[in-house]
Amino acid sequence: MSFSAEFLSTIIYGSLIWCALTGLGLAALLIRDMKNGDIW
Amino acid sequence: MNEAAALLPPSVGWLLLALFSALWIGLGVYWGRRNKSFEDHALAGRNIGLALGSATAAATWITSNTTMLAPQFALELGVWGMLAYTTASFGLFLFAPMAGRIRKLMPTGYTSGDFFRLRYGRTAWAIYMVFTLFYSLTWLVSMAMAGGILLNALSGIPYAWGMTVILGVCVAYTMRGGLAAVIGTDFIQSLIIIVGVVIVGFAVLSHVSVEQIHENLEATRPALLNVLFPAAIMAIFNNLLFGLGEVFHNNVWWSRAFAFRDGVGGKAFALGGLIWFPIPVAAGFIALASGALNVAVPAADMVGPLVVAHVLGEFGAIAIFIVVFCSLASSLDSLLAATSDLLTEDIYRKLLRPDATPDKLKNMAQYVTLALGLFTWAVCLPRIGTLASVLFFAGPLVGAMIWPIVTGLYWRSANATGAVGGMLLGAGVGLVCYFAIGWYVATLMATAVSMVWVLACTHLSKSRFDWAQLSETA
Repeated sequence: MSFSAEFLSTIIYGSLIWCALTGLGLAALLIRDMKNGDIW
Repeated sequence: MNEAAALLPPSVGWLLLALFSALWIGLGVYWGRRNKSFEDHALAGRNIGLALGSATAAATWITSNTTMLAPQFALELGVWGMLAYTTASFGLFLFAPMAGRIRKLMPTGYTSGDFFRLRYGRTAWAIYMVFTLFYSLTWLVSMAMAGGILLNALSGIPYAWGMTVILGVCVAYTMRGGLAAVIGTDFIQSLIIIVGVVIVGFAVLSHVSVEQIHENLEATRPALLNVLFPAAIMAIFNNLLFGLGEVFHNNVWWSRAFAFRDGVGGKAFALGGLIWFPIPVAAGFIALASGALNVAVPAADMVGPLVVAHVLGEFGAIAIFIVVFCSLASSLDSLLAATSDLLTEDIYRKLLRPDATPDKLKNMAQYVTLALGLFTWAVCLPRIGTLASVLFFAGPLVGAMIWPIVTGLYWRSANATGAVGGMLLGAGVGLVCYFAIGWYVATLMATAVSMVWVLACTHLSKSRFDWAQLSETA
């Protein structure tokens, strides 16, 4: 039994999109913390 | 590796090294101005917010292993290899509730050593210190060695020079800026790594489709697509338990639990886990594309850079160089800071100079960081190159500490007999299995034996620990 091309495609594109979203999320979190004076 | 075989000319490598070295040291000096005491230096004033907290949890866990070993895992163990690697994120997810509890039980704590000494007494503390220092120093040396080897392979910079520069830079900014510099640079490094991984990933997919990768694997290496690949499935358990043991026991993570602002720890570790989770697949799949792209792979541990350089040329090689440099720095600085704090707090302050002033402790922590750097440099210089196996050797030690920590944090009836026996028995049986069977069962056996002993002792125990004793370390 093998992993299908669809499964491979889902995890590869899913992980790349996930990474991109977390990068944006981190930047947004930093801006929010900066505005609130909560960085450290 | 000679200069001709490297992916970048040495001049470009030196230029990148100089630029990023200046950036990290400059930021370390700038952020270090805030530090007035040992608490500021070691724990950044215990006031780290959610953005920096999440980024440092993820960045510290993204070592050069993640960006370099994930493609190697994919090449050798296939789809399961990448998925197995993602289980290392469970350590961060499961540490999230523990971080909140640690902060609550030990509002003035400094290190994981403080917990062992106060919770289980001196004997358990001594065993813990031996285990964790062995593991931390091995990890530190293997990271510095990997730095020299990777910079040499990527740009032809001689091993000794590359290792010396990357270690020297991390020592310099960690000494000057303490945990604030470590966490601040971690944020920038984590963003660079994430952006680099995404750009490289989509660039590879613009040259070869997933369908082509799948077709090529089915024709040439079908085992890599096998849902029931035995070695890869065993790797899941080893990675999972190794990750749990590392995060649960090491002062790298405890120091962050103490440093995060009240209420931030749980969220920051959970978000850090979410950020880290997709990285092994995003960085690892490019190895699976090597066949479809006709890239010759003479050494499995260089498959990632070779594929990227093949697809993106010098731009790709520069991107990989920067990502690897950031991955190495984000782990090296954290290890230097956390190990230095452990030695300063648990050995110098608690054993040798209980009356040391906060300023004196801060200076001592800086000297210890420098000494750790010199020790690491001296061990790395001969380029032994076999420390990856030593790190696996530490797996049983790490696995044997999981249950004493978890039960000690949550159950009043957990006691010193359970903790001491669990660590010694678990590590002993794990090491026997390491030599008799193999690395892939050592951590699992150590964790299982330790669990049985700790749970039996806890069940039979009549003692009830007073949690208030954990907050007496101010």
